[in-house]
Amino acid sequence: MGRIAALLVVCTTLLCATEWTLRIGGMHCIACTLAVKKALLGVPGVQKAKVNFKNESATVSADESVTLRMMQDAVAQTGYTAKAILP
Amino acid sequence: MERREFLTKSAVAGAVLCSPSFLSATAAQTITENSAVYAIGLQCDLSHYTGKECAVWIPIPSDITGFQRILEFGTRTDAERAFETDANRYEARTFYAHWDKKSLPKTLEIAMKVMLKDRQCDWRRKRISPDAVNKAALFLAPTAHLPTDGAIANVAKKIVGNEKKPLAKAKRIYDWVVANSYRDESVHGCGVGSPNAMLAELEKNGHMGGKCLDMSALCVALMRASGIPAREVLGIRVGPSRFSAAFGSGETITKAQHCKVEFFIATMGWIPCDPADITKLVLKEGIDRTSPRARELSEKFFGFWENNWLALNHARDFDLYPANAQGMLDSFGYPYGEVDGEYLDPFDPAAYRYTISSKKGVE
Repeated sequence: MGRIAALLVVCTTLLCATEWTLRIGGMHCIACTLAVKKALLGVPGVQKAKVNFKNESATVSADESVTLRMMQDAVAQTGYTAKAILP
Repeated sequence: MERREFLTKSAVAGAVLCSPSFLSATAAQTITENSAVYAIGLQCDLSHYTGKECAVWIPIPSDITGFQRILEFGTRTDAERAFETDANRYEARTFYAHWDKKSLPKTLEIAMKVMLKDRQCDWRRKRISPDAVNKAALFLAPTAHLPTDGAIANVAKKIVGNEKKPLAKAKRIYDWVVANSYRDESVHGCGVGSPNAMLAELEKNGHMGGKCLDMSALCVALMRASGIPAREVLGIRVGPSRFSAAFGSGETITKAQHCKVEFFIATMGWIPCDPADITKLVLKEGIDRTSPRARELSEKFFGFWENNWLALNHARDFDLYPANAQGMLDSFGYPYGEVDGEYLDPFDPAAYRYTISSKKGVE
């Protein structure tokens, strides 16, 4: 029973996850991706973040409660910028 | 067996070989005065990345006539694809290994024996081939992290003044970097290597902190802006120094990467110098940069490198081969790795799971 409940929680979280693609500005080397990723994962509700230096972008999986502003603020605190890329 | 052939065979077969039998020897060498032999090993274990695609690009040394000789070299890995290459802009010798998602356990070992000699510039004029002069001229151009205009050009002009002789200009720049920078231990790894960031800090705070890549990059950019071909040389300390503990390493050298500088004089060839190590000496020994000891070693390290440092490459702002997912690499002194296209932090070797070791005097 407990396992089913846990599975339901996981499924619900995944189904409610929002995918964001962000344009990251200010990265000058590959190591900058680590700082941006850390900042994004520090936002409550962000589940996954993958940052790419070459494309100057980040793909983020987050709860519906997470807003663009929350991610932008977190990234700005590390000295970079984030803008949403519209699909 | 020729080295490249051996590597290709062992890598493709994924052969289980017993150390040190996977070392491939080249011609026998005589150990002479001021030379030392080191056995160097790198172990990389990515077995914790289950179900993920992994790739590593490991910088490996080349022979450098006169003071660096690779006596033996071998690898052992279970990677699907593994090979040696220097197919990049700077011909930086690289060992590449790639593991598919299903691969296990994802391990790589590199072992080598190297002979290193002190490198001392004799300052005599010699005949340098036109080809060498033309190749050196490539190291006048700016790169993404090495501007030669704007603030760099202005500061270079002030340092050099009316001096016209290239060697004297290079010495002025070296002395200026040593006099105006300090070692900042809070900087990750060897630093970012951004001359403009260093100059901005100098203007704001009156001094500029960093580590070896920061100071070397600044020195290189100022020299290039003054018309002197120059480049950073990424490498690793492999043993104790005769001059100071600040310049040496123990037998675990995982975090012993160090960057020096070479500049080119058309009548002398490439000349080494090391402004960053003088700032390290000042910090580690708690001495003043104007003390007799700091001044003596500062003079010594203009035109010299010791036989306890292994040069890897002088690559900056370049594309790896095979291509990585993250794009242009700013420098190549550390093992570069990606997991599912994401960057592995080389400054955290415990999490990355790689170690590098060195043992001196191994026959």
